Amino acid sequence: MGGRRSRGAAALTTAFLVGLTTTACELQDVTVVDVEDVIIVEAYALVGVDTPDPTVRRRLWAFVSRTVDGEGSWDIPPAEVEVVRSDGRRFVLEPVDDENCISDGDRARPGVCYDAGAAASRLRPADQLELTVRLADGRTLGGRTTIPGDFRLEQQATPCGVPPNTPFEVRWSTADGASAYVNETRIDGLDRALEDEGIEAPEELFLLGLSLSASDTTIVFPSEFGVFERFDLNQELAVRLQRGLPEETQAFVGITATDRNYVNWARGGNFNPSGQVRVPSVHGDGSGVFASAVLRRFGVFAGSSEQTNALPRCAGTF
Amino acid sequence: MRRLVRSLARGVLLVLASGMAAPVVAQTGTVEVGTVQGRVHDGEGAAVSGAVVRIESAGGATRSVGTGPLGSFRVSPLEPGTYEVAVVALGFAAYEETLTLVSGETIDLDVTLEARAIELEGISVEAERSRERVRFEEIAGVTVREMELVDLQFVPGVGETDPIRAIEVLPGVVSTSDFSASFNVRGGSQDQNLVLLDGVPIFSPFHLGGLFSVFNADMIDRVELLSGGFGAEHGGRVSSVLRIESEAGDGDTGVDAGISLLASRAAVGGAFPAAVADALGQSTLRFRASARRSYFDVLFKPLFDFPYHLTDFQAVVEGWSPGGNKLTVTAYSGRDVLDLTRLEADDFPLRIDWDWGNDLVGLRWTHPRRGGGSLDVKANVSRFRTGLAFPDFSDTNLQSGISQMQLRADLETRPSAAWRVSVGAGVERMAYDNVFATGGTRFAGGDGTGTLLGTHAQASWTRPGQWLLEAGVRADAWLPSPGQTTIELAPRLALKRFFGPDVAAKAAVGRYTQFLHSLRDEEIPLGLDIWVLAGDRAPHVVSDQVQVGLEGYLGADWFWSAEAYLRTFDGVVAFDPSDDPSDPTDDIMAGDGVSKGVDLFLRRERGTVNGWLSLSWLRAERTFPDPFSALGSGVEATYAPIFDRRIDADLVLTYPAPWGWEGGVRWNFGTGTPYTRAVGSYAYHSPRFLDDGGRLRWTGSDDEEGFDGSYAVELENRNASRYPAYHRLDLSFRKTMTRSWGTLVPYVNLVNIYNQRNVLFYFYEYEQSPPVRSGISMFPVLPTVGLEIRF
Repeated sequence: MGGRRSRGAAALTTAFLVGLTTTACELQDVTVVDVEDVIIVEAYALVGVDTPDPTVRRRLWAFVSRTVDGEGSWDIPPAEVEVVRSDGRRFVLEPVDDENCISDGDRARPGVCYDAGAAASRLRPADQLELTVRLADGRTLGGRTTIPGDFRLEQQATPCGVPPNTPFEVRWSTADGASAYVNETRIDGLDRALEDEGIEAPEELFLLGLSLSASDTTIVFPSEFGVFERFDLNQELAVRLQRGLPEETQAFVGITATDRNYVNWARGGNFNPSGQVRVPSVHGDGSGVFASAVLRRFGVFAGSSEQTNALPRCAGTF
Repeated sequence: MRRLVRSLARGVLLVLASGMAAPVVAQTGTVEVGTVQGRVHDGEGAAVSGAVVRIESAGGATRSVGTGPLGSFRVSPLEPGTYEVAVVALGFAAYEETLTLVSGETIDLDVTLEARAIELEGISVEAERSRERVRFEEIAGVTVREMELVDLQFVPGVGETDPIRAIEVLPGVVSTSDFSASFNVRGGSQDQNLVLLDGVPIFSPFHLGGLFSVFNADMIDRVELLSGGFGAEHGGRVSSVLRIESEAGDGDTGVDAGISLLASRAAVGGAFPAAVADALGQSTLRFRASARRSYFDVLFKPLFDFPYHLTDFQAVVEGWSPGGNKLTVTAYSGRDVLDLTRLEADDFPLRIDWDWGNDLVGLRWTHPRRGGGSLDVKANVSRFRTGLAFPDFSDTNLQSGISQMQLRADLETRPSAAWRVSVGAGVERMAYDNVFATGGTRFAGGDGTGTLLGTHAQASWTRPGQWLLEAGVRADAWLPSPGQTTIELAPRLALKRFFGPDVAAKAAVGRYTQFLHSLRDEEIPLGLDIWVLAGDRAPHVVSDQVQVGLEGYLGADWFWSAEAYLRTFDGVVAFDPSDDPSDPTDDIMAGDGVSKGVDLFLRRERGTVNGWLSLSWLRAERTFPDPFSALGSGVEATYAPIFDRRIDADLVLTYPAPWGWEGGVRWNFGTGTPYTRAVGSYAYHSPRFLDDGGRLRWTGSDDEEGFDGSYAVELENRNASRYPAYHRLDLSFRKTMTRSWGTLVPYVNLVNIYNQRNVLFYFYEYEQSPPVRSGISMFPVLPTVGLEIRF
């Protein structure tokens, strides 16, 4: 009885203190504020290489939006968007359907998509590009980027095979001018593969990794992927992946050399309680990013079947 | 600024030249003056500092001086004649002696005071006044504000007495948040304050990410804040020196214990057996040790896992040799532990174990010199470390640390009554190591070492009651690795002119240098210091400072001071959010700053109601490259840093409350501090390269609001807005209840008694309809209670 009473008193005290602190810490003063209309440009040049498939996919696009106002009036003035390469070649970006810039599920976001279309196939690694955005209301924005140099994966064959539960180190050569390598993977079949272990997993899992600096050209797959998802991911699953891919799963791995503009925009700047602050590379009458990247990717099968064993072994397997 | 410094120095030298002519003439007379000097100690040989030595001539003229830390005193010049000498000190019987001084004679007294059980009221006040008075009469340059334990106890606070929190009430000190005990002095950054525990540097003296300081009041004798005009002996930081002096006790066995809402604690004091003291060549060897631990994790264990606790251990040993040499050993070790590994996954999915803390050990030997002065030798080590462990992810290594070893010797001599000369030299070895790596990559970090060879010389000349001059120079050689050797000469000059016995004008100019920085973002109220050394990655700080002021006494009770200052800071640093990840040496931006201000201080030192009023005006600026500028790279921004509180006023009072309680009041008013307002926000997208052709994905969802990374913000010019004015009234009540076995002291602290909603942050939520500004406040009304026990 005494124990119950003391526990009750302690709980009451805690509740009182927590309640006092939390309720008193909210400011009662909530003020309606005006929004400043700022144009935001998110422009990217991507040189994609699917290894060893010689198909080359290159893209140049810009998503022009503005600061939100909560009222739903998302009007963006028409704009002329062009990119000029250092050799004088001009890429005119035309307005296209939002799907070219934004994934399907996110089309509700306001903005106008501009795309260079087939002309982007002329982009090459190490190209120097200058972006200009002229809005109909007179506002002008601009930025510069240099596409990182090309690089080669040590893992040439795709897909490659790896024994289950075996992490391996993905290695690649340095890309000149790169500031970081964005390492992405999409792992398929985890839900079935981990069912017996009692671990809940989605059918398809996307994980992000990072190699910061031009000279950091390795990452262990899959254990070092997902570093940004560790707070959100099912911890049993996250810990399980430290041991490697489970039997009968497959994954695609992408290594993307990115420029400094991408890094600045992605990592954010000083602390501000209202939200993340981005370091811009698009300047003038607005803000934004003009970044460039070079992508290479490969596929991985994890298993012990004859079919998997017949695949080339993934380089860097421990 | 340099022209200003040169002009002031020229003026000071002119005044000095005219002032020094007078004593030359006076010494041509046929009668030579004499000196009475000596040392005051207790029956066990321990010095009695702060004792009042009063010398009264046959004609009734009286001179009083206070004894220094080694019990030394000196009264000069004295005309030949007969004098009554009296020495009084708190807790001791008065000493009286009659002596006759002949022409040119120096009399050395060795005064032994006998302990007296009953303390006479008034003696402590007189001694206290004398120490303040000694500082007023004998020091020209440095601005010292002292708080004894009793002062600290009556500054209301959260939980228990906190020496660092308490200094927020002193002039020139700005605190930007209730949630952080870190402080800024006269426009300096928080990493520019040197915090010394018995002379040993302590790097990050805070618990709970900055909410409380690490110092346990049971161990403290007094706190001194040196806020400007430092002499040549001071190096290492450019803005302030905070000296925390431990209390070794009187050698009697005793226990002080206490419990507050923050922690429970106990301190034990006493003396080592005489055999131990003898074996170590000491006539007495005293100690005091304390341990402190927060208890919420234990208290709430039956209900839920409270994942945090703090521990402190602090000890001081003080020995006195028969010859008056003082030996001091100080040790401190503290830890904060945030263990999230045992929480339920639903409460906190990621298992994290985070700890941080300081460790230090210092050894100090002080030899008193005949006629005053001393040889002081110190050796110490200090370190701060923090580490964040993720037991499930071996690829993660997040830790930061800095360590320092220091050896220094200082010699002070007094060749005559008018001159005091000090020289010193020291060597410091520092090392830092910061690693922030996870997922197989290193996000930030760096390491390095540095050796600081420092030497100084300073001469002080006085014409009592008229002039005081201090001139010195400090030379520092900084040998960093990686980095180039740097040699800095830092001259210091201070002058004080007395206008009668109770008023003086003072001026000081000097150059100060600093070879380490904290990269902590000061705009975040809670956080840990990330230390780096000057070298290839970061410049060192050079600060030129000038201050002028008036100070004096109104009768015996009131001390007042008015000081104006101007400071420049070259080489302040901040993280560069746009650094090149491929360049390990460009992640720190170098900038500069300037501050100017006026500090007013009025203190009543005796009486039933006493306390002080401090009023400060400050204007501070920082200039850094601006990576967020709409104009592109290469643009600099000049802005008011967050500690640019233009007006800061503190009223502190202690008074006799009803029913035998003693009361303390603190009222603080400060104009608003700067912040950077968000002027708009936009949906933040991230490209997915792997299988979506680089198309953008919004990082949030329509169901969520704010704080999930889904909206980024556009900002106005840095710190162009200001929060509303801050004000708060705190009360404290203590009652000392004497029992046959000891003493009980219950206390109550009431913080923010009228529940003022001082703004900590504003949040601008433009994705709301309509867009709104909301926010959170600092401490609400917060009552805390505690109990102290002594026996």
